[in-house]
Amino acid sequence: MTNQPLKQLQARLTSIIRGKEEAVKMATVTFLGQGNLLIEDVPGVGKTTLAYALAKSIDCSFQRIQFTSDLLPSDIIGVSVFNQEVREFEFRPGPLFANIVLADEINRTNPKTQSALLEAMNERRVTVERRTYRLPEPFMVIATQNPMEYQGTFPLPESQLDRFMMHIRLGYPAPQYERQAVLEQSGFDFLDRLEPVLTRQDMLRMQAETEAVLTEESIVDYLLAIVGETRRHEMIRLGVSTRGAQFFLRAVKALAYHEGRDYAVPDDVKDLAPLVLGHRIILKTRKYISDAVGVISEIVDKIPVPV
Amino acid sequence: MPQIYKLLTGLLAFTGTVSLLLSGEMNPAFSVVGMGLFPGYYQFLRSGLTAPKWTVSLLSFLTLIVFGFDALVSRDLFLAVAHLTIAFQVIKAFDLRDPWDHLQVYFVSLLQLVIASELMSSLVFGGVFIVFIVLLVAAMVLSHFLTEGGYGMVKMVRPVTVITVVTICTTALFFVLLPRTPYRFVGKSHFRSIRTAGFSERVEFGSFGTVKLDPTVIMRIEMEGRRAGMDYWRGLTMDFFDGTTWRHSERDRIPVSRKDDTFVIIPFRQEDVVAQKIFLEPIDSDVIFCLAPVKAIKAESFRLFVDRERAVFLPGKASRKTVYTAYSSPGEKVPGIAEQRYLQLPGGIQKIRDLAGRIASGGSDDRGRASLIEEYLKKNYVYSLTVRRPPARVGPIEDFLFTSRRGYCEHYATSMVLLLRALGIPARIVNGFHGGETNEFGNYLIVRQSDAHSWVEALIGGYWVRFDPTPSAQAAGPSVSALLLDSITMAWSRYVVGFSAEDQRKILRSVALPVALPSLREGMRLKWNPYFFLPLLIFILVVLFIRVRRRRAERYGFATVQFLKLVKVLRSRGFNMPSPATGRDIRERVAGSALAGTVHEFIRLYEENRFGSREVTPQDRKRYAAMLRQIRTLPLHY
Amino acid sequence: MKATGEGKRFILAACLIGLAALNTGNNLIYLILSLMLAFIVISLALLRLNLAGLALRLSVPHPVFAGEASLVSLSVINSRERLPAYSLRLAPGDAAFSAEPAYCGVIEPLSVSEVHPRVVFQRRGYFRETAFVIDSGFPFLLFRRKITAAAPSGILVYPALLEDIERLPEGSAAGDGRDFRFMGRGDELHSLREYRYGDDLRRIHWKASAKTRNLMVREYAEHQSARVSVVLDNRTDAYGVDGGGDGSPIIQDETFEKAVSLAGSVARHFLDAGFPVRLLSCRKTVPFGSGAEHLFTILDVLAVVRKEDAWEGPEPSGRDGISILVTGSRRNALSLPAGQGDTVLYAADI
Repeated sequence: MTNQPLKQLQARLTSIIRGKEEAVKMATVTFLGQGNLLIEDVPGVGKTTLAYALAKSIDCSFQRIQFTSDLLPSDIIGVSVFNQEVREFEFRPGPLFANIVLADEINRTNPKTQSALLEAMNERRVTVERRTYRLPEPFMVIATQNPMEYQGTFPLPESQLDRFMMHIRLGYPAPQYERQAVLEQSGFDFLDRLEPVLTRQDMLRMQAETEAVLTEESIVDYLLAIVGETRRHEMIRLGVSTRGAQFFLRAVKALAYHEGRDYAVPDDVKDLAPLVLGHRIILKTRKYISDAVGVISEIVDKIPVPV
Repeated sequence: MPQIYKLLTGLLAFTGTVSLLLSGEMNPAFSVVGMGLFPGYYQFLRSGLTAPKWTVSLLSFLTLIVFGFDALVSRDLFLAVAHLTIAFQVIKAFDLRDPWDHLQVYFVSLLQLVIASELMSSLVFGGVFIVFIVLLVAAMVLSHFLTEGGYGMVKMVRPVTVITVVTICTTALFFVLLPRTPYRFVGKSHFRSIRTAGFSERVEFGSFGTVKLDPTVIMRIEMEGRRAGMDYWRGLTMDFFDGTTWRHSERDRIPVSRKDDTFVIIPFRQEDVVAQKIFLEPIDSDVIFCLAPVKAIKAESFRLFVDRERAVFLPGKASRKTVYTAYSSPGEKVPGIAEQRYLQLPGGIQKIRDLAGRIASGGSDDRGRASLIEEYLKKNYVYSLTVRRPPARVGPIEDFLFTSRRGYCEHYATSMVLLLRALGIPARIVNGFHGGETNEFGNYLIVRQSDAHSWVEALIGGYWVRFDPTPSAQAAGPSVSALLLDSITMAWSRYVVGFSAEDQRKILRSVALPVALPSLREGMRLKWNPYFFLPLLIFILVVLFIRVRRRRAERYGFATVQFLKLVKVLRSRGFNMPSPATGRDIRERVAGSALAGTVHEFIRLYEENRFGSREVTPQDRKRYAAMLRQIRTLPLHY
Repeated sequence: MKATGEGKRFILAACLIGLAALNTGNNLIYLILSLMLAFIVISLALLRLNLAGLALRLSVPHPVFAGEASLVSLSVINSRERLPAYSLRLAPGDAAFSAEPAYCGVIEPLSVSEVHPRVVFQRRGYFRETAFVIDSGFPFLLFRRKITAAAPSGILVYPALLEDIERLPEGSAAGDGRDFRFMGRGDELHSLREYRYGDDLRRIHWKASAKTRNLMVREYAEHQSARVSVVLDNRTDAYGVDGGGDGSPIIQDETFEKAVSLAGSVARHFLDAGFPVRLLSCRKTVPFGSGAEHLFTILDVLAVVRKEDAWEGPEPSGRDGISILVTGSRRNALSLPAGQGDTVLYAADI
């Protein structure tokens, strides 16, 4: 890897969340591609730690919103409060106004609040009382959700899922890392003490450079062939949308940049397809995300790779 | 409407019209009318504009009036229709509105081609026809895609090429297979026959001089077994001379009895005769030519006539190319009866009588005297085609013999006949052709107008003996290219224009009984000449080679080709490679082996060239080669 | 195989030229005749070749509803090894659906070309395969040939959903008669009232407070735990009307289709509002579930539901929340045990 700051970031993150190199890498890639990340897993495997560590490593503001069933849209976006002294409404920004927002257990809240969050996250601005407020740059939402099979949840509708660039699972750490994690000090205190390895400006610059990554024509064709096949596959009820394809391309660029290249290769597309497309399709038969990932992998194996 | 489609329509209209004009039968005024195609299609291509409706209607009306007059005046509806089609094409050029108009143009072009085929049969028609096929296929396929809405979605070159080739082959197949009748039922011919001299019942003396420089091909002859040498192709005999005109006084023509398809004049044995297959161009005479003495003629004709002087006649003037096989036994003596007409002499030839006596004084018998005369004429006179007109009241023979001493075959032969007759030896003149050039391409003989010849037959000892007092003149041989072209013309005349029911039968027989190939060879005489086909073959191979190369290069860039080589090399070194492999697939598989470093570098370079912005430099090319070499040769393990 | 207008003219011209050739014996006219015959034969042969070895595959990228135009993806597969297929028109081959015409310019050997016509399925149901007519006039348009090809599709066509469910006429309410159309989720605004001690501060409606100069709080509808059972009465009896000659009822299929649509629409309405919804019918039931995904589970059943002879399914009880019965007409409605907020909708009234 030629990009020094990026290397440091990766080193820092893996030192905190051990044994999860791939997840850490994908979180970084999502950030580079200016996307939002959805982490699905059982509670207590380090979802929050990952988000917090990422925010602390980059000199960024961080907010955590714990989603509950009685959370209202205004609780995250902010409210217009009537100021008695000046006799005017003034906007009190909600927790969404931060560089990195951790939306914890997003499927615990009602759809209205979910969609408020996701719309704001996608448009990168909120509109309250006909006034528009931009969210800070860089901006990323890391949402976590419990697996669907958990009771008492409001699963995110497909159209909302589509707004996340990537959907990853963390999984339980490998035994040797788990042992370490259990023995070490818990809590986020030590995270608070960390010094950032990247400045906000670094991050913005890298995001801009990511956008400039070259994707050769055949790469785009390959990507679109995979997307097209999801719309045709007999097991899939609803294929990947055009927005999904756009996110896919951005993710491919980000991964290429993360790997220190200024051009994308077919392997980037191959690696990302399950992570980027898995949550964008609806299967005809069953709905576990792992099934969808399996179908995507099957499609990727089928489409000829450009040489 | 795409430009190429308009252009194709224009070219088709042009091809059809040109085919008519090339026949030479069109009224020159219509050549001028035909020129109207150019401004018409120029404007159509440039702006797509059409002429106003009233102009078109007016012109159409005028054309119909002209057509009426044309048909009435020339009394030839056929030519009038031909003229009409030209006018139609020109008017249409200004009035192309919907696709149906274009199809009309195609149909009329086809009609023009049909008319042209009745007017000419030269090789030019073949050329026009091929051009027409290519254009028609392209235009029809294009028109199809335009109608269906696929234009612009499909690359047209490949289907058009393939269909054109298939069309040409199928056309050839149909041409061979369609049943033929050799006879014309209704209507008259519109062929213009070649004007010849010497083969009518009355021949003006001196008429040979006008044709001796004309290279028009009169006939082409294939002979079995025997190489054609300087043969005498006997046509018509002349027996009556009035000082300026020769006449054929024998009027009785006897129909020849027919056995199967052969007209047998004199029964013969197959091994005694020489067969000559003759392709006679349409000439303005009903005489046909062959070696003497002729025994039988094989021809697809209703009837055939012969007269007592063994001249053979068709029932009428050949309206188109005639193909016949003559069976002759050259060398065999022909018996004859001395008749008074073979001794006829014009008046006032005392000087000639004296000369005859002087020349033949040393001869002991008729044969000796005749030979002396032949020798005398050969030695003492100069062969020349430029003969000045004799002074008034002096006969041309007298002038030749005693004054100018320059002349050509007619002078020599007539003089000899007169000299012989003066001596009391019955003699007649024979008009025909002499010699001809052998064409190595195809091995046949070309006989031209310039080979027209007169010679002498004298009745000596009860048999007719041939004498030729004309000294031989050396002529420059034609060039190779001219011969090559003529061989193509010959093939055209032979296998297309002259294709007959008999040829059909032979082909079918050969297909049915492939074992009997030798007999086919004899009949077809298809000669495989490698020199002829070699350039064509080389051309096709080169084109194919270039296309394959280009397609490969189009499909894969240089870097990709290198990458595919790498996969191949690694596979040969025992690595199990998926297909198609990506960079990571390969890295994973070579990991841990001694090749890993080089392979990594190779893939990095490939990816930069292929997917990155890095151009392939000459150094890169060398690097690829070097790395491939290493990967091929390095030991797998340290 | 059929000759087009041009084809007929061409054949006529070929016949005339054939006569001319026979008459004159001119080999060059034979040559032209051969050309025309070659055109005809090649047309026929290529047409046959062009349509051989083709297969279709139909897939739908989005859920398909009856009577609604949906963009489908129709793949034309050329399984020949060498010959490309040119110029194919595709049109619907059976009456079950209508489609706008589609056209393929060229399909290379061993490859697939995809067209996206808009297709309208007239009825709900499961379509194992859909027949398409492939029609081509390649290469000269002298002849056209049509073949019918079945495209394996496995398409489930959902019943048409009614957009405007708020305007439905409502039947008699069996329960306490609350209007189901106004019942909302717990976060739906119900009314505003003055602030009382102990109210959640987040519920203060600042705008209203400014207007009234008193703190106002929002009050929400409280149906958090409400669950909805959509009951589709698919007994044949429910769809009969009097009028048969011998006193037997005439079964109205049209009304049944409406009832199925209505049941789907009601289910969507409540799922959109966030309720857990289940579906009950004679044979098939779908247990409670929520979210858009669940709507399709319900629609899967509704797409293929048929009329049955007798009610065999479970009957909704009061504990299961609201029941909404969708049936044919008042004539022979299923009697439901009284539940909370039960409503009966008659398809015949639409």
